[in-house]
Amino acid sequence: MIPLIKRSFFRTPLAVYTLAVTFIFVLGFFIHYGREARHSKSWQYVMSDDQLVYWSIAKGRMMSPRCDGNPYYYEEQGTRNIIPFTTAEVIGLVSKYTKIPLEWFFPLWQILMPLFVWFVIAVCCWKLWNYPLSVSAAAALLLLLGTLFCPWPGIHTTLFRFSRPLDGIAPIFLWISLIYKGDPGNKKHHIAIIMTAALTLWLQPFYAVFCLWITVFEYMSSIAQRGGFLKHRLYFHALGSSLVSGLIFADYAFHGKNITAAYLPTRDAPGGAPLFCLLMTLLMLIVVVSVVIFFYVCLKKEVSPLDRLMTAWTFFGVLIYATLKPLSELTIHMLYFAPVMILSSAGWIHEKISILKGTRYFSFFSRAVVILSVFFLAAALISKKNFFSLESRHYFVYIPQYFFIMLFSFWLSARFHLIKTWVMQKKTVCGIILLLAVAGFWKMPLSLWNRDFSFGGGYQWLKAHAQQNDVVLTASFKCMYSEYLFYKTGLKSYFTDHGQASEFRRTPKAFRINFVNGLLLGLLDHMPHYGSLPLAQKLRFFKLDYVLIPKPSPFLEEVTTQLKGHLQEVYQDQKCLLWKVI
Amino acid sequence: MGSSEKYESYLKALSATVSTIQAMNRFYWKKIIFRTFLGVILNVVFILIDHNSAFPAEDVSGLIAQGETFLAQGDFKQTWAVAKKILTEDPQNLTGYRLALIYFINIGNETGFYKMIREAKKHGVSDLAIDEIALQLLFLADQQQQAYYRLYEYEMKWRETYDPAY
Repeated sequence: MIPLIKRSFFRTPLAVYTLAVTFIFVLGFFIHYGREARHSKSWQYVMSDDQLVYWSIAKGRMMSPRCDGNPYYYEEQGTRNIIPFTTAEVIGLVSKYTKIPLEWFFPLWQILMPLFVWFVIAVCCWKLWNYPLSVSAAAALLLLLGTLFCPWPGIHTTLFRFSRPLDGIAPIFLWISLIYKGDPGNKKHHIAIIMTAALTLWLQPFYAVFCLWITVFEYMSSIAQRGGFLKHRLYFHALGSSLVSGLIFADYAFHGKNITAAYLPTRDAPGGAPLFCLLMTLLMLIVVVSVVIFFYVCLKKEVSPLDRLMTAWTFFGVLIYATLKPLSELTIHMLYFAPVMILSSAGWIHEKISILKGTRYFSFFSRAVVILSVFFLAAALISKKNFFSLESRHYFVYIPQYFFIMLFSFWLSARFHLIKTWVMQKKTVCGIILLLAVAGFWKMPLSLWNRDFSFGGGYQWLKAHAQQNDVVLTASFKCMYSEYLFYKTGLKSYFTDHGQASEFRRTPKAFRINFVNGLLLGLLDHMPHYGSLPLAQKLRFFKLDYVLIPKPSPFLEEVTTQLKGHLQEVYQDQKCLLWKVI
Repeated sequence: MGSSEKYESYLKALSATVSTIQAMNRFYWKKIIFRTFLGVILNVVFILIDHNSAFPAEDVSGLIAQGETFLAQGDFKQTWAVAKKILTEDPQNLTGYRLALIYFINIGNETGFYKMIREAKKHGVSDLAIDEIALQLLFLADQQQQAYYRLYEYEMKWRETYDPAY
């Protein structure tokens, strides 16, 4: 009986697609991290800076006392973040209680989480939006692979970050799909939306903001059409669940001892112009609204759910860029919403072109697309600064690029039957997906700070010999953006840019950065504010147990000369040197 | 040497050369040779003046001593004036850049500070050498955050140059 069930299960198209997508993500994992391992010369040191921060938070949750508030500093033990890193914390706790090493969760996360996200998006498109399963599966995968082609730094955020925003993408798609396509008479949909709304808020507050906006927008438009506040129970349940969850969230965030500001690594001022983003969103809003009006007036077509979704998120973009400061968290994190924006744009463009194709307006539309394409292509050939070379940390700049590429692709398949026939073939779709996957994972930039990683031997020695919570000063800036020390050994850093460094630049905590700079520059005797302190006191100002330095190093002489008499060599290999501070 | 001083020296040299040539020009048979010689000599004189090697340059070591004295007295305006002179004489002089950078850091002109570093690199000063000076100054001026970020760049550059495995 069991073999029969298994055989029949594996024969279902969904199971076949799931296996194929699993293969794609396993392949992607080995392509990218294999390159990274070759780059760092070890499979142990393959993470990007952001990944490492959040995995360190997961490890911080495992420690006693917990230190996920800031896992890097000795003084910050027993702290937690204001905003919970729910997924990271849960994985840390699972690792702690099941005794499964935390490192094992890394490949699992990198392969299984994208797979889960793909599965949820595909099922939403299939079951709620009523697209064929094959189309839903391909579109969901193309969407996720498409994010690999976004320029840095947006490129790594969707599929490569632990734990956010990947943990929130599945709930956001489910929430939005239920809002637009949920059946008010189906109890399962009501339960699903109540749970999804609560979960989204805890996993990813930014997504909750976005979804709440969409829910309110849809609620309002529904009331305008049909009246009655309580008729629309699905929206009502989503909002009610968010409210209750939000209150519990607020209670968690602002009550309790030993909380630190939500962990944020120091960032440079983002480049690009939010004003430009505002203009882009405004342009998108004008285009969407104009198209909706055109279809309603000239073609007598009803406003579709995708019309309303497109209007809602473009309006959301305009509001954010028009009202919030350029460096506000929500403005910077607009990139988190890109998967929803891209997929809804794809569905919307497809819907509009399908309608337009049978009308007399199609030839005019074709001419407009050709002229626009020629214009953009010519601009790209003439000038280095053009529509397709736009780069900004503000992800929204890329949305019109994706939009135009999709518009052109859908038009091409609608206009030329031969192309449509070719694109609809299974072999072609599989080939394109495989090509995109290999190219996308291959072109992922490698982490500069992982290159020829120096401290592997030192970390092993520390793990075996150091006391819990000993503090290590890494006398190198080579790993400024990737501090593996805590993640690999559980020991604390003397100073790292990932440890809420901005906080530690202020007096008296500024002593740390002052001391490290002075040590590496050979100017310990001239430390501003602390120059007159004897060296022994400087060394005891904050807890310091070990000094680790890569070999070779431009700072070796400065460190050994200045700390002479206070260092005892405990470990040395070809790549690093470790001293105990005595 | 300023451009007006250069021009005056050029004129003096030119008038001296012309009178010599005129005296020699009395000999008719040598007229064509002299005209050619005139052209050649004028160009040589101009090139030599233009490259500051025909006339004795200001004493750079004297200027450095002067700059250090002004610096010790805390007269940053004079330090800057001397630094400019040093860098005119020797655009690769590290002490000149150090004095100039001290001036900018003291008046709080961050743009000028980094512009001067770029100038140094443009004139062929070693990246590591000028960065080391800038780092020390930033540290001493308690600009720890900037020193910290520049130390990262400094180490990366150093590795590219001296670390074969990197």
